[in-house]
Amino acid sequence: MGAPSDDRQQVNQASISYRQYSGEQDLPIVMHLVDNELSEPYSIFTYRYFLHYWPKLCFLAFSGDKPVGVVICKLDRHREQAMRGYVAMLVVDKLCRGKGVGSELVRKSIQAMIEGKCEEVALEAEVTNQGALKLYQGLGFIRDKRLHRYYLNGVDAYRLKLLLPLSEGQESAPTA
Amino acid sequence: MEDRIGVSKVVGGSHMQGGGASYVPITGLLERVRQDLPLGEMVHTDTFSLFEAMSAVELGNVKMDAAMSGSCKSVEELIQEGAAPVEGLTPAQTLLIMERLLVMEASWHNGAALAQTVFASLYMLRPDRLRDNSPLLHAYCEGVKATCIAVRWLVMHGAVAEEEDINCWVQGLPIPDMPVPLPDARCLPLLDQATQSAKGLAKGATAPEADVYKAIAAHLEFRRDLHGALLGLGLKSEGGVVGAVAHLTSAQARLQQVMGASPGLQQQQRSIADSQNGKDASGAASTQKEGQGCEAKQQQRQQQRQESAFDAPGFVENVNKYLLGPAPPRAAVVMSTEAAYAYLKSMLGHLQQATDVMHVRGYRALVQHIERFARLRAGVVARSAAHYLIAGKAWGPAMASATALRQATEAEGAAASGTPNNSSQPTPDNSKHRDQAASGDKDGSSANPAQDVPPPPWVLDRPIMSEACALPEAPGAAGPEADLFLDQIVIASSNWAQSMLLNSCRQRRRLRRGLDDWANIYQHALNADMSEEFVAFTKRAQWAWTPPKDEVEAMNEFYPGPLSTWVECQTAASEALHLLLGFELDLYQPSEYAMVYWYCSVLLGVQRITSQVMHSYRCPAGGASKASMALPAKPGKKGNKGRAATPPSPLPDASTARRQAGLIMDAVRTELLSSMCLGLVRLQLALKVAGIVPDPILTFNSQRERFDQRFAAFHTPPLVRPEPMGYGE
Repeated sequence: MGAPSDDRQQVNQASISYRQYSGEQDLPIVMHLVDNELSEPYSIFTYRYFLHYWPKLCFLAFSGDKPVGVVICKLDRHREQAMRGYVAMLVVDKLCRGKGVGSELVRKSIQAMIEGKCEEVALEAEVTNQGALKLYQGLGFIRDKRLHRYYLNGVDAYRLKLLLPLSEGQESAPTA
Repeated sequence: MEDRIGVSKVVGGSHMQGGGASYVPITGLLERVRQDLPLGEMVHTDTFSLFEAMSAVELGNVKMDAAMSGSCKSVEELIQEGAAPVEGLTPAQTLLIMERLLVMEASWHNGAALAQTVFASLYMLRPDRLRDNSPLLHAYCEGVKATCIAVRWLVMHGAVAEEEDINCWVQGLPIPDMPVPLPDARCLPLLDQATQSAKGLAKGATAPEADVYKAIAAHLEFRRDLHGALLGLGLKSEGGVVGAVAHLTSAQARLQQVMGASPGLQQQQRSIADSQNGKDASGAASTQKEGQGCEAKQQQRQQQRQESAFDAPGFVENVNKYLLGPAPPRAAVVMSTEAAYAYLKSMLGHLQQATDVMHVRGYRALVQHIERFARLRAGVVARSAAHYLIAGKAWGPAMASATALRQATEAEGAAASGTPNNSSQPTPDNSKHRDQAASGDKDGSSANPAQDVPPPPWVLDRPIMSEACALPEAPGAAGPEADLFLDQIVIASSNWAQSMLLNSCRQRRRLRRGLDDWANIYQHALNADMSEEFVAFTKRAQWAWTPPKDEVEAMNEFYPGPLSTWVECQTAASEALHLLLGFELDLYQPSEYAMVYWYCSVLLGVQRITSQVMHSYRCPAGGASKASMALPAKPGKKGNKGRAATPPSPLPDASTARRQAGLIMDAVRTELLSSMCLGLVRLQLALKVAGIVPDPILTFNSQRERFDQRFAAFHTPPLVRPEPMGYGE
């Protein structure tokens, strides 16, 4: 995937389409988007870990035919207690930022996690990444912890968490 | 797929030998396998977890493989090419190298790897080359190496350093790895000799060379004082700490001299002046352009700083990249000269404050010392020293290390010739302590083996904790349940002290996890409060506490026993501090301030009430008076009724009076803080009503879930006191 064909092309919300990750043929798209935008290095094994086990929690955003965003998540039992969803990577092309693409990707992934009986969602974000922090806080995430020098570039991270209300079934289920 | 027997057929059987291993090219095999696998099928095991995925490194990928960046030349090749000349080094170059090593050392203390900072210097990697041609630099390099060993020792035994604080990896460097080597005083005579030489050269030279030699002498003296201070702290004795204080005071003065002659700072001032002149000449830049380029300029400045950090003779960035291990490279940020000096100045000041512990007597004073030190937000070296000095038996390795260091230092002192320290200008009183700290007691007064030396009185151990709870230190005097309780609170308080001296991010998390300790200890406290032996002890010691008459009374209503009340107070204090730290770490949004301040006011209220309850019990301090420990008299002989034991008269001794006063002060302080928090709650509510701090629009949950999430740790069983507050309240 190369640079956008027209840098000055106007991108509006209505022209963005979203779909779930469909398989290995989408992997190069995902890797290209993430490698270009995020500073942390990820090996092919990391991508495959998330996408092989939780393909339904990965969503892609397109502006026409051009991929402009991706969210990659997982969902499993955390320390034998709560079912915890985790947003591993969220990337939106620079030209499409500020148009709600990231929020919509995260919303879709959280909705999918809720369908998977998720009880809470967590992720990490750089303390300096005001855009990401605003996005997640706008969806109800709180800053649960601060992680000193978490990233390889020495920047601290916030662990953000969203506690979901228990469903009726979860409330009445016996505790472990 | 081919079976394993057929591998050599597929790949063509071309084997390579090297280093005792046999290498077989398998590219062809992998290509055949790839053709056999359909899209989406993978070779994997079910145990492949996120940890394995994130730990995997793609060799040759610059982002992931630390060895892929920078020069591939060996140290010997670089030396042969003249990257680190030893002949013809000018005094100015020597001074520059010394200063650069100091900056690198400060950068190491702040998270960069030793291999990428101090040992990015070819002189540090091969210091013996300097012995004949550059003795001043040789002495300095040996001093830096010795100080790095001492700092590493202190950090590893201080038990508060985490991987994000400092990198103690030394594989492949000329520093022994395991067991962690003890710091020693061998570099001190070398530094003394070099200082004398530098001062002699300064006298014989004219300005500006004389000034350079004076600056070199100041660097050598600073190094000596810093190393001496670390040795003194390591002894973990009153004499050692006194000696360390003297060294630290001297080091602070030397650092000022060093800064005054700093080539790096002078260069920085020239650069600032030049850039200001350039800006004036071109006129004011447009505001918009400046705003957009601000971040880029910052990155550019950092890049320039990084490049200039290695432009001194002998420094080669990435010379040790092959030592960094099979991991993605962590950015090695070298501090600016100004930032490095600022850090060193604050480090010396914080180490001085850590030594204030020698004036501490009693648990309350110790808690205040720890809280005061924690608020400094000191670097890892100072925090390690602070915790090392107070760590008790609960930190067995720290105690054992102090013993080993005392033994080693005493052995060195006995072997030393006793040459007086003439190189510095100590006050007459301090010099004796400094030499003792550096080389052990020369007069042989420490004839007793080190293991017989009792720990200093400020160490967090059984004596100080028994005083905290007004319990007798001697086992058995208040019964086995009280003894068990005392053992447990030594552990819990030790853990609390360690939590307080971690970096602030970890501190907050560890305080939360420590609540499990307090919950467990609360149960021990209840058992002790209700035990017959403890009740009998409180009667003998004349505590103003009425124990429950029977089990029914004890079970049917909450009865604030003295020990359980003390535990509840400590728990509430930990919870309140955990919450308040969230403000410092910027964890709360303005819309959450009201509920956080509200909960803080509740917890401070609990502290106030429990302090008042403990004050009302009027427990004699330590419970250690002989009269209070005396058991009841034995029954009398035939015909006589047993004479009842005469209870001791309640003497309001100074310790008890201090304890009571401390409890009242705590009650007043927490009442004040609780009122402040309530005032802030009202302010937040007013701002909300005024629309200035609106409630967030929540898509997936409600305020109830946000409340539960913030205070979940306080509701987790088995924690029962302080009573957790629910959203409805």
